[in-house]
Amino acid sequence: MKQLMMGTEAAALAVRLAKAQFVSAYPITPQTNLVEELSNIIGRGEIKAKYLTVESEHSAMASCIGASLVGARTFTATSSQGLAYMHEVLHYAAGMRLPIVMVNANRALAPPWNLYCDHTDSLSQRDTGWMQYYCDDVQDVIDSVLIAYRVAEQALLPVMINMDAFYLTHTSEPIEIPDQAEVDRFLQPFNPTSKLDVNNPKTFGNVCGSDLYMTIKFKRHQDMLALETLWEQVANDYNSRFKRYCPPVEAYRTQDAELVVIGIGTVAGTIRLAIDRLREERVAAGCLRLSMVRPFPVKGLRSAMTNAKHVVVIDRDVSFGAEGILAQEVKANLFDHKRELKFHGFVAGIGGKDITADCVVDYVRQAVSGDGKAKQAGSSLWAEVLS
Amino acid sequence: MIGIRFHGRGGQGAVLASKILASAYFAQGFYVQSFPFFGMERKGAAVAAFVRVATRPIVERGEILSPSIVVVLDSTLLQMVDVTKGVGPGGTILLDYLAQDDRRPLEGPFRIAAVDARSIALEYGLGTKIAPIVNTVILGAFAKIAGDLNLEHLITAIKASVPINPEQNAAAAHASYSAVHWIQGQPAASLESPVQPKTTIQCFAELPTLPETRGVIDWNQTGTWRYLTPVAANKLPPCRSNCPAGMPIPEIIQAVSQGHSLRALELVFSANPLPGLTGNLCYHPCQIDCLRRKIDRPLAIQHLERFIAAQDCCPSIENPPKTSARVAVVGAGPIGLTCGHFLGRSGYRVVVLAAEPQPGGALLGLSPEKLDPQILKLEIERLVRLSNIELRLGVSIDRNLLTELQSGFDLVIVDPSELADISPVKDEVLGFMKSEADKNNIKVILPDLSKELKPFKYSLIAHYVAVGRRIAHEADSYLAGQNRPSPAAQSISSADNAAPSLMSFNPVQIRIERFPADSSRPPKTLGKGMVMDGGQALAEACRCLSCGTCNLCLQCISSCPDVSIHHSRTSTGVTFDLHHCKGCGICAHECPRGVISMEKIIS
Repeated sequence: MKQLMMGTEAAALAVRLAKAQFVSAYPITPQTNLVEELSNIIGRGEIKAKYLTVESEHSAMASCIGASLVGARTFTATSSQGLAYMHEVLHYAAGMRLPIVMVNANRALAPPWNLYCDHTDSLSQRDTGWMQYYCDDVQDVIDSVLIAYRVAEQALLPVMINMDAFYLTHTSEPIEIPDQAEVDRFLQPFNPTSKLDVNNPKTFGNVCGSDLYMTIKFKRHQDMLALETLWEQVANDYNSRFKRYCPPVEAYRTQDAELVVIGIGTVAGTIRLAIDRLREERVAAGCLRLSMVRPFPVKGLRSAMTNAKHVVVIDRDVSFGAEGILAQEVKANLFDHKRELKFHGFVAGIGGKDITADCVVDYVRQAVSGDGKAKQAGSSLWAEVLS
Repeated sequence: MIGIRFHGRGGQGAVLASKILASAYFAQGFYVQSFPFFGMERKGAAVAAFVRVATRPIVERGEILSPSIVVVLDSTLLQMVDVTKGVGPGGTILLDYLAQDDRRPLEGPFRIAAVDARSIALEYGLGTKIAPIVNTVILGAFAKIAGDLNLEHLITAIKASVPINPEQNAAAAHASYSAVHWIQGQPAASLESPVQPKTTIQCFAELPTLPETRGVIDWNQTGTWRYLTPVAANKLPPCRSNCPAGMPIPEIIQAVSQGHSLRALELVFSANPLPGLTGNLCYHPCQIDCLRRKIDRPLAIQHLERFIAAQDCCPSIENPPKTSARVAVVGAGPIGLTCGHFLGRSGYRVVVLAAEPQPGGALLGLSPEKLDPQILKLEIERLVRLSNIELRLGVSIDRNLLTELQSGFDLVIVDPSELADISPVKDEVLGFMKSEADKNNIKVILPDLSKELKPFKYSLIAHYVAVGRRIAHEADSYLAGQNRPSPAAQSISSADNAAPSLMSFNPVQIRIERFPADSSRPPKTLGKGMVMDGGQALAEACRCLSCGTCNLCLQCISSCPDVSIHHSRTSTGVTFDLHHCKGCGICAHECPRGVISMEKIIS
């Protein structure tokens, strides 16, 4: 039976289903509903967990690190400035190989102060060593959080589940609630072999010289690369139990596509709508949603490029002085694969601007004809800026 | 290009030396580069610095792997650091000290030069005796052995770079230039290669997923920074060194202060089996030099002893099983009883004989005001019970007895203080005993008493106890040497060497100012012959400063900045984690009792 639910509520419910044992978070719009809901769940005793209120996001992550290190299933959630404030400890969580799961509500970074959707907050944390997943809809939120716990605990790496501010956090949609007994079978209790234990004292994250430092980093890099396949395997198992699949990439009509539009998060739905319209106009277009940005889903990306001549990337983010972050990532991973591709990077829909199917169609037209309203700066085209 | 590597300790100026050297070469027109190895830079930590010198611009960076010259500022590093690393044939190592016998302290194809840099530094007033500053000194020697460095350029660079004393530094460099020489000799007989750090993880497969560490890691073993090592050793405090009977007074008082009266009684019995008598009769020299006197009043040690002796409990003294060796002790005064007691506790079959019908010898003659006869009776009963010896009283000391003794005993001991009682037949008896003894291979011990102890003086009772224990010790050694069946248990410690392992105690080590004065007046019961109650004894024992004796106050542990001092629930003292102790000396400074001292320990 389906239930109407917002993204924040779905995330809180997923944490309840996963039976997290430790939650520490600091409220921030548009994540606030999520932690309020979780504190209610824990307050009502629906899961046996400790909810720690802290004075900042930095402390929230620091306490999650401690809790995870003693072997607790750990959760936190934040957004935008809060995520930026966590930056230092994000490296620590990943370096200590702690399977913390975090939900980030993608919100614009200040200044100027803005509450609406933007992916720069999470994309600027892509080098911290966290796996990053970007949700498509509210159903994807509840499913990906559950998959994230199993992947994280198996790989001993932290996972960040991202959902677009307001498009998911505050949007109610009917979703299927997974059955608790089946979730329990899918997700076994967390029982790490190595943990902080007074009876077996160890130091974690100690000083390390040049003799081992690179080797340790190499191992983490290897394990991170393997996550694309691991996620796929776990998502397949989840699919067999719950009949829903959360793939590393989601391709739509790309098989024969000469033009592929790439995006992350909720914009993928809009792009699919635009693709159908372009197909009616006999434009051989397809859509590729990258649900994973770290590790970068190279396999999935390349397999969608069989017939592609043009790639349009829609970035809800920017790296100032370069271009959209996603555009760079896509280019870097296709450079050795298909040199003759034409790239068109659009920076669009940030700070509360909606991206509609009409917008996407316009971007595609401008990409193919070279003529349109988006303003060029360097290699990126900015839609909807004042002339 | 030539590469130069400096080895030193943080604070010695190895990095400055590398900069001065680079400046001097630079002034001569060379291209130069100088840089430190950036690691755990702290005072005392092993550090390295490098200099490159070339006739062309230098483009490479990073550690110099094959240095032409290695300069060692502190030769104690040779045990920790491989200073020869990368030094090939034709290379040179310059050391800061003169090896004895001109032996090579390092083995390898390189040349070794040495200069007594420490002495030169001290001669010119650079640094302190513990930490002489040798960096500029060693550069003078460097100029001599390197050949291509102009001494005057070096001196100019030194004067321009040192923070203080430019003239002394320059003069010291000059002196060192003249003093350095090549070591021609053979390698030293036992060359110990430095301990190489162990990397536990040898291959990728061994790498754990989590970056976890068990035990200590090489990177934070700050123990290598140490010049001085803390040593915790109990010292001989005034009360103990003054006690004629050699009682472990601080430990006894500590036991009382912890409420362990029985343990206190056991400690008393380790030296003195007649505490009720000494507690009433002794002139208590233990209290004369008590440091507590400087604060308020000396500790009432004698009253504490009386309190312990009056405890209605029995110390659990376990004696070894009796051997077949038999000892006769003639005389049941304090010497005879003490001697018999310790021999009995060592497992010998002991008979103490006396002419009187009561044991106690000369003590029997004391008036009841001086000594309550009931105390004497109870003390002797306890002494006998705990050592399981036999008293044979009212026997006439004559030839018949001696005949009996010669057939049944391995050793006869005569209490000299009781000789007065044997007096009428003394010479005859003794003469007979000695001749018989020789005939029958029986040893007779007739100890000499110092003239202060003759005739018997009750206030010197602790001295008589000490003599008794010393004779028991002698007898035990004799019987063990005779291969007579001798007990396996601990030998009887000699009262003369009450605590031979203890260093003498320096009263200034006790930080009097840390102990508040006690305004309370001594309890009224501290009058003659009276005994404290438990509360009074506890309060009095808690006044003890525990001079020179660790009482686990744990101030050292709470003051150690490196968490490198430990104690376990069962230990009686503290231990140091020398992997991490940097030798800062805070514990020695903080110890209020003078137990911890900083020692120069050369491994």
